[in-house]
Amino acid sequence: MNFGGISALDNVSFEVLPAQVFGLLGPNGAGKTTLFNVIAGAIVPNAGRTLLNGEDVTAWSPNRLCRAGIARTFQITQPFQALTVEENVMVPLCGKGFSLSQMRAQVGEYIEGVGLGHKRFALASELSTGQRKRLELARALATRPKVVLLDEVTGGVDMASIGGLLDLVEKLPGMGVAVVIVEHNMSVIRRLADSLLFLNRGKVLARGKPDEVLGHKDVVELYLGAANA
Amino acid sequence: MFGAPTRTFSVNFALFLVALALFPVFVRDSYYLHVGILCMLFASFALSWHLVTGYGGLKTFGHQAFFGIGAYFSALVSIHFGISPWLLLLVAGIVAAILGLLIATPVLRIRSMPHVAIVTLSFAEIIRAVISNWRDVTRGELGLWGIRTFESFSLPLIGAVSFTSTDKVSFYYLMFLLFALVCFTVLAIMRSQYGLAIIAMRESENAADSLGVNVVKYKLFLFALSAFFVGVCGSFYAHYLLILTPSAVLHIEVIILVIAMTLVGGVGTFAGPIIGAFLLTILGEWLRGFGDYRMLIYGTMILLCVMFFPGGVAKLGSRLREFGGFSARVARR
Repeated sequence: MNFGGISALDNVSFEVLPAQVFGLLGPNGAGKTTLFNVIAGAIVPNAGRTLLNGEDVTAWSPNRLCRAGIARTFQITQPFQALTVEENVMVPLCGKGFSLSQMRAQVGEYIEGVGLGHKRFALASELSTGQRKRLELARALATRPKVVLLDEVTGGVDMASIGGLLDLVEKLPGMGVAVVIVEHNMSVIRRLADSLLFLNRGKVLARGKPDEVLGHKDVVELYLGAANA
Repeated sequence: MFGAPTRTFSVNFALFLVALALFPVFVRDSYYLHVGILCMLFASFALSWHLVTGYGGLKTFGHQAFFGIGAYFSALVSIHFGISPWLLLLVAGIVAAILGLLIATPVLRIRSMPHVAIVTLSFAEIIRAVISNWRDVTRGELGLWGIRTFESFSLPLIGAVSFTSTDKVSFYYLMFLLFALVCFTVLAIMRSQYGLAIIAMRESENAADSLGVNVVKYKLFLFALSAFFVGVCGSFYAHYLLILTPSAVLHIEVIILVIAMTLVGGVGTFAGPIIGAFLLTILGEWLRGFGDYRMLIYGTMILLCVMFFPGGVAKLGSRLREFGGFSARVARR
């Protein structure tokens, strides 16, 4: 994936299995969000392929990818501010043959599931950052995804809310959903991820189990400096 | 806007339609009926434009092209081929919708809203230039005349319904039906799940797209439907006034007026474009007595309205209630 003369992603390849939590780690500018955008269809790569259950889905539009089973959240939340929490979560069900009352009935479990039941009829513009992250998660789950891409799900969230959010993410593999998570917080990654990929300047620096990657000499050097490696 | 209508809205809207329907029963003066027709015509235009811009979030400034195309297509076909204006109301709408799809297709590739505005405005200017200069066919600014009006017919219980320049009642009720059609179509769409998807698209196109909303399909649909209604309005205008000039139907002032109506009435609300269209049309007529000062007063009033009521007249009630609530809270302290 190139932007002008700069290679944002170079020879990055990985596989995520059903019900697995796969972590993407790396410093700012490593290419994590670009990789998310490529998988979610927001950016068409210059080369390479994205496969979903063996089918080539490269360059599919985001809405087509969503219908195929790839849902995402955003690093900077993008709630539909003029709509209520309930209406936000109803959006993925639009045009799928449900009546409005059926849609309202269906989204209840997702809203309750992310702990926003008390905010169901509140406008999205009235939510805190943590609540917006939860709302994005509920919207993503309402698409009934096979894969969820979570971009810094704890970013900007107060410490008191992080635990609840992580509990939610931990439940997803049990629902058969594969999770790809971008995160800066090491403890979050250590808690959630089954497998890790460490990116630096668009290239893979390390991959494997969380303990292996986080203990990798180059990763330690990058985060803590050469003296600690 | 999205969701089931409140009881207050339903009652107010029904009363408004009943008042409009009964207006010619009490007022037979041709001038007042003409003003009523213009109010409903511009309200239909503004509602259609608002469908794309207010709900869809696409800042298009070229809708006068669809109005002009509807008007000129309908007028020319009726003159040269003798086709009934009744049929042309529909066909002109379809032609405008096809043109809407043609212009929407490249416009949808543009993410920058100022660029969308410039491209659509340029498109309308091209249409205006072509019609102005194609004098052999359109007669340019000399005016296209000889346009056929709607054929008379008779209705049981009512009797003969004729369309003449002296009796505007038939035109009034035809425009009333078109206006009601636009209103109910907009309401039906915006209160359905499609309306929900359209508002989501306006709020965050990327998020809506990532949640399975086919944003391209929705934008094309909005553009085509909006162009269709504006084209129908243009066709009605041609067969009502029976004379057309490019400056009357295609000039940039047409869309500026529609934008002003929507801003004054209130963007993002159903009632806003209607209230704005009625207010500014009546105001424009009332200010005719002020001669050259008319446009100055008109412009100043729009400016003041936009500056002091940014939500528009439609949201004035809720703002006053908020202010009342604030005053009451202060008074209790």
